[in-house]
Amino acid sequence: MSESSSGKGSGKRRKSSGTPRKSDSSSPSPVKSPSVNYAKLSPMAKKVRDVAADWHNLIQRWEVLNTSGASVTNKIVNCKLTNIESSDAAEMTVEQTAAVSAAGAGEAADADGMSKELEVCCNQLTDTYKAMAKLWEKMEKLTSNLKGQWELQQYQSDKDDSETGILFQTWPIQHFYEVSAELSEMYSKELKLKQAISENIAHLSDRHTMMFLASSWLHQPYMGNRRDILLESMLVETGHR
Amino acid sequence: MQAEILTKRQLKSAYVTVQKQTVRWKEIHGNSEQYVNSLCNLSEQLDSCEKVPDDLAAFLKDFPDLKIRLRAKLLEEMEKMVGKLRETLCSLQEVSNSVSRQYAASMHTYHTHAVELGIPKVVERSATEPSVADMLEWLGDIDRAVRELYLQKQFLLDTLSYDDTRQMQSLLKKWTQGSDLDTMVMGILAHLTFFLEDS
Repeated sequence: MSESSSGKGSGKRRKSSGTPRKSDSSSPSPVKSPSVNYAKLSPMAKKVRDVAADWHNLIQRWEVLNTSGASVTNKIVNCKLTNIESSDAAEMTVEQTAAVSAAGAGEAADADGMSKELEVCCNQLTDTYKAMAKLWEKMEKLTSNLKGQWELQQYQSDKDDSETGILFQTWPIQHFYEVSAELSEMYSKELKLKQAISENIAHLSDRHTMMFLASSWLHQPYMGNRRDILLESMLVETGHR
Repeated sequence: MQAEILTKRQLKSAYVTVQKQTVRWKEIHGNSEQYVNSLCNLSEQLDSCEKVPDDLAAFLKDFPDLKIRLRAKLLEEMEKMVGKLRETLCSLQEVSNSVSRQYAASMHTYHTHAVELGIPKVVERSATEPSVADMLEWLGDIDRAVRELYLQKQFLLDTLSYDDTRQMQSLLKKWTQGSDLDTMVMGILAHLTFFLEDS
């Protein structure tokens, strides 16, 4: 690893000091010849490196939100289920005995407390969804950022086509854009699903459908293993890993 | 005289190993319960996923493949859990093998010196020390119990079917069954307190 990656892990690494230099062939080359020297990257490569780090951070934050959202959906489902069960029980007692008024009042108070709890949970879920939507907007910005860079490079290479266009080891900027776009697409689909879940989960009464939605939230079905592969390969390519 | 010392020394080291391995078994087994719990939980989710009406609610019409995808995800998670349980099983097998080795070694030592020892010596017991025969027999009991438990768990995992919700739900109960191994071993070790302490 080169010296610039010593602050490895999370966080963006925008270097405030030091102007980016083109690699100088006359200076003695560092020890590891095959690896990329990350201290002397082109400005574009530096930007792309930042984008990759941002992707990593955003995905981490998404996962945190997803976990907290999943526990809220579980709470909602439990709330609803106990609600349904207690109302079932209430109906039974009403059928069996004629003493309606006392039981009815108790039930009403119970249901009231329940609905308040439900409301709190629903608000939490909506907040989580909104936070996720914000993250997704940032992801979109990253993608459009890369797209801009790609177009810029196309424009430049139109003028002189000596540039190979490979930023680090093997990927051209176009590939970075494609990966980012694919990731954004996955998250956009997932976000739509989250929206549908957060808007509807509290209005259902069927146990299985509710469980189905809750586990859909948790397991993120539109996020395949491909997401990890894409992210990891982007991090490896940019030298974060 | 030499024969008696050798046999008892072997028995002592065997029981020390048994003591350690039982603790290890307990630890491994305790850790595995969370995986079984997750597996049960996942199977419940899978069941709900299957039982969701085919004409999904209107707000889900944009996600026609949701059900298939979720099913795939759930099965993947379950595979992971079963993988963890298989690892657990390997560790339990190590425990079982180690106990078996000790039993075999003790029997071997006894058989080598059986003639020299003679029956009266073998069945002789005192207030603080059980007879050699008893100790060998108990060691055999422990060995068998551990092996049986291990095989039971292996059978459970081998016959596991992801789609069978009822089987999955009973898995936890079956998996934790027979955890009275600890009680049994402790009971036996209680008889050996002085024997093991005495050096």
